Amino acid sequence: MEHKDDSGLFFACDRQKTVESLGKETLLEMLNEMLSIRHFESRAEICYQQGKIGGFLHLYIGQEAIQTAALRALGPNHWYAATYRCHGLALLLKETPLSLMAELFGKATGNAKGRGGSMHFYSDRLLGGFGIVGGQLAIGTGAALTSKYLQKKDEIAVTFFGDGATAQGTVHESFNLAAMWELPCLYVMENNNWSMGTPLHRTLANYERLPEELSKAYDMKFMRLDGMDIINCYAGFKEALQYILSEGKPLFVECRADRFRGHAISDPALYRTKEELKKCMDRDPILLLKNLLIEQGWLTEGAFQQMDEEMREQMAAIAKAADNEPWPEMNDLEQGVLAPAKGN
Amino acid sequence: MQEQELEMREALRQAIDEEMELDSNVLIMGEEVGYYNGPYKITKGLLDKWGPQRVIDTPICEASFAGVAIGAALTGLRPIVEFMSFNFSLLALDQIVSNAMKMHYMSGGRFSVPVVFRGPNGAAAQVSCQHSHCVEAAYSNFPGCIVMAPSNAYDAKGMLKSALRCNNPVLFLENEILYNDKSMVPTEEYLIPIGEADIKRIGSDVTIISHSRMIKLCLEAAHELQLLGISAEVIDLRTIKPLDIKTISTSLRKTHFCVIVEEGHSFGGIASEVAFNIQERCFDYLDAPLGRVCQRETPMPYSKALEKETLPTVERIIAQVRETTCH
Amino acid sequence: MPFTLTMPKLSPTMTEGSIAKWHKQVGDHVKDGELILDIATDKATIEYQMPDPGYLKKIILLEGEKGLVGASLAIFTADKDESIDEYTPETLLIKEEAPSPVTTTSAPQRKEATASVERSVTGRRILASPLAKKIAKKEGISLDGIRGSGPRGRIMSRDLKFIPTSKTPSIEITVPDDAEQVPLTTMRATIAERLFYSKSTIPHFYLGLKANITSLIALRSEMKAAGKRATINDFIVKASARALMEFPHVRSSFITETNRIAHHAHADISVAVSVPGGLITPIVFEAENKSLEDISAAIHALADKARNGKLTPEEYSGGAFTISNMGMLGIEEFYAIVNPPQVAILSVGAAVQTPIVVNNAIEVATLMPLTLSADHRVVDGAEGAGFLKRIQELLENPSTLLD
Repeated sequence: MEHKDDSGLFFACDRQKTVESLGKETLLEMLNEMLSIRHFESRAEICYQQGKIGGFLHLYIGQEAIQTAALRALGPNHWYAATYRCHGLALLLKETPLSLMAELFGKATGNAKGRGGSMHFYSDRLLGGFGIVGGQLAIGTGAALTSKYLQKKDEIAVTFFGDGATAQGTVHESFNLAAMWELPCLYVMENNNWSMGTPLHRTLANYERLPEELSKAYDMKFMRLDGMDIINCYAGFKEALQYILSEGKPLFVECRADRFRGHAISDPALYRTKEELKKCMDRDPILLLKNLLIEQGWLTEGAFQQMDEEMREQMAAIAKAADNEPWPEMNDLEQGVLAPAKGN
Repeated sequence: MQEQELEMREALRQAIDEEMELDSNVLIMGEEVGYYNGPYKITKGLLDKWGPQRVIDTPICEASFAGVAIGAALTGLRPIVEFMSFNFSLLALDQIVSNAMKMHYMSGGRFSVPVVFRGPNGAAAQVSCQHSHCVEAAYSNFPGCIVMAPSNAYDAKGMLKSALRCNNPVLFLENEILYNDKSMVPTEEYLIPIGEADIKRIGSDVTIISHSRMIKLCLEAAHELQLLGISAEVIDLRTIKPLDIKTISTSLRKTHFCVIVEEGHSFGGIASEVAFNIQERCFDYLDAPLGRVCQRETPMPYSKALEKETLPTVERIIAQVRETTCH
Repeated sequence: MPFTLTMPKLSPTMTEGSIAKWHKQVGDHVKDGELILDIATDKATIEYQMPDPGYLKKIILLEGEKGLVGASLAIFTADKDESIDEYTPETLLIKEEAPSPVTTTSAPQRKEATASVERSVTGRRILASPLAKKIAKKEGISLDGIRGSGPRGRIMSRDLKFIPTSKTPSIEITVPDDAEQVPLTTMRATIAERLFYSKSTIPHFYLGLKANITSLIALRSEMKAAGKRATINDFIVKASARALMEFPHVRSSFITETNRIAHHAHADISVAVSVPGGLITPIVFEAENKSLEDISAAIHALADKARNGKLTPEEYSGGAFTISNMGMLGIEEFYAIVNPPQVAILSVGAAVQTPIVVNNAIEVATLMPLTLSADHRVVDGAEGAGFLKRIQELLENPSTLLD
């Protein structure tokens, strides 16, 4: 994505201070987390092409910094809701790669017993993967209602959505409710500039300014982060959490990023030229963090290659293991449509 | 047992109030439910009693407030959503279907959705084409929900309490014209189980099956039919989904003739689902094909006489019963 | 470890592709993510990146060649010097996914197929409700020939209420070889069917008394002298007509199809007439409004027609009551069979001079036996008795019958 004028565009953070506050161990963990997402997604792509995964598959490749930073800054003890591009979030919320890969393969031991698939991953804090664009905004807002209702002082509700969702009515309705009712919502727009094949300038009027102006219209605090820069993201999310917990009011974060693949597996992304894609990939968040760590003297190229290779092998082994997981029982097909009565 | 005569609106209000008393996680949200005391006064006095955190006035944004309720239900609360009428619920159809109904199955049983969507359904008085939808058939078609429709104050209270205690999305379809109707309601707590139909009138010659406001017309028709020597048994479904086919088939083993009456339209309506279940279970007990009386194939016209004509009438019910029983 | 590169599924609907270009040669090392091939699908030519790193040892599918999704494209090894001699290339051809064998939940209990198509002896399809079929099967009733009261003649359960079941015991029938066997005539078959039906389904009961027709005979002689002809039977018809108007239940038909009793408006009296080969019952319509002469004339005309086989169906169907007189045959008492759908029939026996006791003294009177056979579903004893007594009363006061 073309960053026309970087000055003042993104949340102003003291990078060095942030890096030092995180420290070597944490940053290496964060790098490893991004690698795990990257290799999980790549392996899923290969498995799809081998016919092991069907339906829709929306890959998070390129955007890893956003959610990795968010989880690191916010912690797991909040409510999370996301789009169908939800694999990274489920991994970060500690769902095992095997249970997620098994879900993609449609196996009985999958995250949702083979019933949800790629778009519908869950954890005890992750309310989903949602398939209908923009619908999750209301769900996340409702989770924030619960947090406030039950007086959970340290709990917020985080809702991820894409730039394309901003056109959907529920986004505006949810902002209105959250702002008016003062709910502890963190709305995170992952702006990768593309709705499938339609660029943002053909989706939103006043597209560059709209997210910020929309926030202002609802009297809601706004923040813009560089979604490829994990340090900027981390600092921003940390401040966002502080704000929401102390003010009890919602906050809207726009993260500008790029996805390196098409919208989903079947999208050859012919709307981007090779040059445009290369330019995006020059700011690969994994490379940016690697380079930062090397600059700090906390990582060598060799060590990185080893981390990369290990993660690639780990995910390849996971895929093989997922292949051996059991299929769902046909007799269970109609079980569990309705929840059992209380006390069951 | 102590009883008092209550209007249906008061019976519903009591059900909500009592459940809010029993469980602090029960709350109600909707348009005008708070300060206005409810557009149909179902929530009268609740804001004063329970405060604005538990009785929430929403703006006019059905999709999002339905979604908010679902998000709250996923995370530990037990919300009631009042739709000013179910016509407006269609704006929230995606949230109700894609999120509420699918969630338990889609998440592999991890999340349940204890939410009740309630409000008036069907025609009122001359409110015309966009305000008179009967939504039960459309919603019932999707797996993952419970659909209920009370026909009187006594049933309404017991049924709503059960709905609020069950752990699944419930579509609780009331009817504006019935809100004023009175019946005797026990002062002590009682519940009416989900999935149980009720025989409103015992008879021997024909079974008439219906729900909600049409029950009144069926009982009127049954009275007139008695004068013609036809003894009609009237079954009130109460819960549409899941359907109580057992009560229905027991009745048919006795009467052998059946007419189904609904306020909704014929194509893919509740009558067609009930009828299929009957022919599947009771084929050998049928002495004639099943009959049905539905709303005619028009949007609801405004003009009074047209509205009356397009809805089922006592005359049409009687005529159908006579045709079905060959009397 | 050698491994096989297989044809990838590049879109949900892709089934096969062809190699447009290999970007590497045998011996090259290819890193994961590096461009290895261009694959042409029916939609586009896609650049394909190497999934896992390896040394290209053998190309299987050449440029321009086609392969199914999952077909082997090339063999790679992880290490440079590994041999592939013992290695067979793998394929990932997508078979129909067959997870655990489909164990269907047991099908709902199949009811016995009671809905077989029944056809009448004429081959026409018999229409009957499922319930009627079930009852018929259970009771051993044949649906053929039953008149259905439902739409298009569909037989309903109520049509079977008074049908005799086939549970009658069978007996061995032996007849001497020299007995002449003749088929039933239409009339004989009709009589047989109707009377069998009547006797086996109608609960008959019988009331009898004797009417003192001494005065009636005297009156009749007077009339004859005055040139007015009337038979005793004409008087009986007139008396019955008057009595019928006073006893509506006797003046009825029982409709089995609808379980209804039809009260006739008029005393339409069927008079049994013996004809060659059988009997028939032409009707005197509105007998209550006819004078003795009219009744006489009517019966005369009808009997003539009957004996000549010229009666129309309207003239013998639909009566309210039947009178059968066997007096002229010398029979003292008999008990006729009710003629359905009617509910009563009067049997008249021979009038005989009989000693009777009047005021402790013996007198001679002419007594005529009358028996009423009635259908107890409609007529009760008291009503039947009242009716029969009324006829007796009228016949013993014959001047009341002259109007």
